[in-house]
Amino acid sequence: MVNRQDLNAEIEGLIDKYGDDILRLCFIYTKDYSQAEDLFQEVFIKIYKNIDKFRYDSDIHTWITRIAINTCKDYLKSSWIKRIILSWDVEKEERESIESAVIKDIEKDYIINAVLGLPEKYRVVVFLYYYKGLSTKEIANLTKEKESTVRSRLMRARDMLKGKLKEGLSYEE
Amino acid sequence: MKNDREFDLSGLDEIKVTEELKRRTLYKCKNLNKGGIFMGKRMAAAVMTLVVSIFALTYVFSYLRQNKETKEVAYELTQVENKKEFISMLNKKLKEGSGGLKFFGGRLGEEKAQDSTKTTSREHSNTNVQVEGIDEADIIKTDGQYIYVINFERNEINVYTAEEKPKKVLSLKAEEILGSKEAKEFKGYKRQISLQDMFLYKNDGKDYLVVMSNVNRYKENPQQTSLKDRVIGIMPIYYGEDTTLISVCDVTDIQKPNVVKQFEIAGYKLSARLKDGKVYLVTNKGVYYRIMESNKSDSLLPYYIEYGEEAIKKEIDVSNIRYNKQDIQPNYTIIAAVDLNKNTISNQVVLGYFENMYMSHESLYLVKTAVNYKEIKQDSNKQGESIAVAVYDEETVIYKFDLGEKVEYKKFVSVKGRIINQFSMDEYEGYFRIATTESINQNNKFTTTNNVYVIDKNMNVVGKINNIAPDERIYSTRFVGDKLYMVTFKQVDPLFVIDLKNPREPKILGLLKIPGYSTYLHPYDENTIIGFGMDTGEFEGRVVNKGMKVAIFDVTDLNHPKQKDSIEIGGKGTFSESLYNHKALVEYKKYDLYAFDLYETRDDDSYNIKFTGICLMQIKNDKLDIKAKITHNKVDSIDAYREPLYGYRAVFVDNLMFVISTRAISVINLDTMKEVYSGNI
Repeated sequence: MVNRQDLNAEIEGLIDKYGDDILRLCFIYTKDYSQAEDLFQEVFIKIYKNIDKFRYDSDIHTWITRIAINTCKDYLKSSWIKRIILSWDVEKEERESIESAVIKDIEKDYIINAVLGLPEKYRVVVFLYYYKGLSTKEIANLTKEKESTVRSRLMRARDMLKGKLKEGLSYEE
Repeated sequence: MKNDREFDLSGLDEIKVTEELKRRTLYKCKNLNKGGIFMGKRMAAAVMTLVVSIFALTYVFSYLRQNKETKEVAYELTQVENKKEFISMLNKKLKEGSGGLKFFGGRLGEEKAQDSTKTTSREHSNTNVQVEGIDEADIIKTDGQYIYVINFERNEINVYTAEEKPKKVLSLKAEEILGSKEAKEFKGYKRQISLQDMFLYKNDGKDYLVVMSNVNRYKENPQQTSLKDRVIGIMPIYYGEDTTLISVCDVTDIQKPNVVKQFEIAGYKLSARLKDGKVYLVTNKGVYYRIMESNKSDSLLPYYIEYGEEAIKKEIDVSNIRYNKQDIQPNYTIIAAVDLNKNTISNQVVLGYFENMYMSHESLYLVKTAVNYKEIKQDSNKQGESIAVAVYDEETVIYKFDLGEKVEYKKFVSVKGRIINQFSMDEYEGYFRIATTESINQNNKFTTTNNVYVIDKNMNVVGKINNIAPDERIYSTRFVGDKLYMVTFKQVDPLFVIDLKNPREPKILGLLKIPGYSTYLHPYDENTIIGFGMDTGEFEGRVVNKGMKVAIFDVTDLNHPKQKDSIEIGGKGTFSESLYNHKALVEYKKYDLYAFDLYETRDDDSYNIKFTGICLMQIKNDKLDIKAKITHNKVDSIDAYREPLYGYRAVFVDNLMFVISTRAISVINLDTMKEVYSGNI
């Protein structure tokens, strides 16, 4: 039986080491910072619950990322959830405080904006490839898709991004 | 491709876990064992809605006869008459940027199916296709004599003899297929070819292998990066230009394959079909307005490349291009019909981005989702306040093309909602049927509802059922003759049986509610449907996936469908490509066997891998039984699961099953259920 104290320390260590990237991943999925924070907590609760079952037969980073991807996907599965959230009693003040100035800056970043404008499956490959610097093979391993699927999504995402960014440019002129 | 990592997403660095978030998370973890329930505020809201909506579960059917339905002309296609005018119109629209770079949904189409017309003495499995007699391209094909398989890792096609100890008789590299010819317009470009999928075709005593590949052309060292480009942080390091190469190879003598004809069609492949010696290949090509090249307006037109003595780039004649005046999208969808007997090509082009296609024996349907944005006011929970909410009205627009000597545009129709995949559509006795999920705003709540439409030859809606399973959405559909089997899902999985016998009066015959949902429905026999999908459970008030679930439904009594048997495989995170790609499922009726790839996790919510490989399932006396699981991973090694193999596929020939992964091939004798061969690729 794992000592609870050790477990807490271990989770804290994992948050310190991988937390930022998990939060970013959740943000890429949800496009909403406060939802990303909710999902972030859910991911680490799952990790907490299951860490003693983790047998180090895969890389712990991979394992955590996969849990995060599955959690986000489960969350997005019901399309009505995201719509309801938009309309549901969103207290403005609360949002304002949650969304720090940082997030506002990010929302002004037009490359990130363009990425967030992509459909979910493209956002995720773009994040994993361009931000995390993973290979298409590693991405396929994480998302459990064929490498060729990942490649074609990247290609398509790149095309869409180019289009979007060019559009932005021609506006500015 | 590495160059392309120039998309600068470093803005994301700003997102960091705050001390507050860390504290909250750790607090929740620590208090887990105290039985506390933690739900974010927003999630709690979602759960509440779920409860409320259960009371609203009443079905309202409206069998409207829609003969007189007025059709908006908003989506009508016009033939391009004047090339110059067309180009300048495109230029203008793209420059304005107001053409709207609308990439909806962005579902990249799936691959194709197989030619079932082969006549060999040995019984063998065929690619699992939607429409009998129309082949869909796939990464693995067999004619009973040989097995043709694409290895994505090595970018090559390998051919094995279909015998107990398979011998590799041919290995074709993608680059060999592409050859060295190049159109003069592309001199100075580098090419990268990736194999995609194949058809097998027999004609006049000859065997043909038809291979489709993606070709990407790019310039490695483009001119000086301009300031503008550096500002955007990407580009123009890599101007990629995608085409789809279709190569017809004579493989009558398997030792001496001979490429007899090649075409390259602009754009990335959406889907392809093979029918009566003709390959129908649909591609999507983006139109990019390039500041630097704006005067070279010809580059805006779609093209193809014909290989003969030389490779010649040809512009598609504008008389074959159609567009919608009110909705100029920077994308062409090209339908290329390649005649395998005459080695000729003809192209039809629509300006617009199409996400899906369906092909029957008579017609080809291109489908896109049109999203109309509007804002509506609704009451907030606070008294007297209202808030504006964004609503996206989704419409599915279907363009019909007749398949005659030439592919010809016929007409369009639009219906409410969006589709999930090619199985959302079907044509039967001249009627086109389509099932959609519609997002609606009802009583200040966003929810979904589902519709089925019956459309006649002239693209008029003649019958429909609206508001099926409010609050749920469609997860899978299968049209079988005059019946439609449909699975919608929110919490439990109702299987609907819908009678379409009278196209003007479709009606729901029966429904069955069970936990979980199916993402693919496969007709087993006239009274039985097999559902492949996921089992579900609850996690903190929300429905989440558990393992994979396969179920057999008895639809003998159409009013009372029954679940005869079901099996659950693995825990959370379990997955199979067959759940979203029907071609990853192989049926072998001779033994009532079904093979599909499987990524199985331990049944303990840990997401740890238990198995990857092929799962072989048998249906006997209404029972599902897993006969074998075949892997190429070395199970005894601790490294085994560090890098699990993907892309497992199986084919059946005679009494043998061949399991092929990117690394290995193994053979199972179906009479003894023993592995008789295993070797590396």
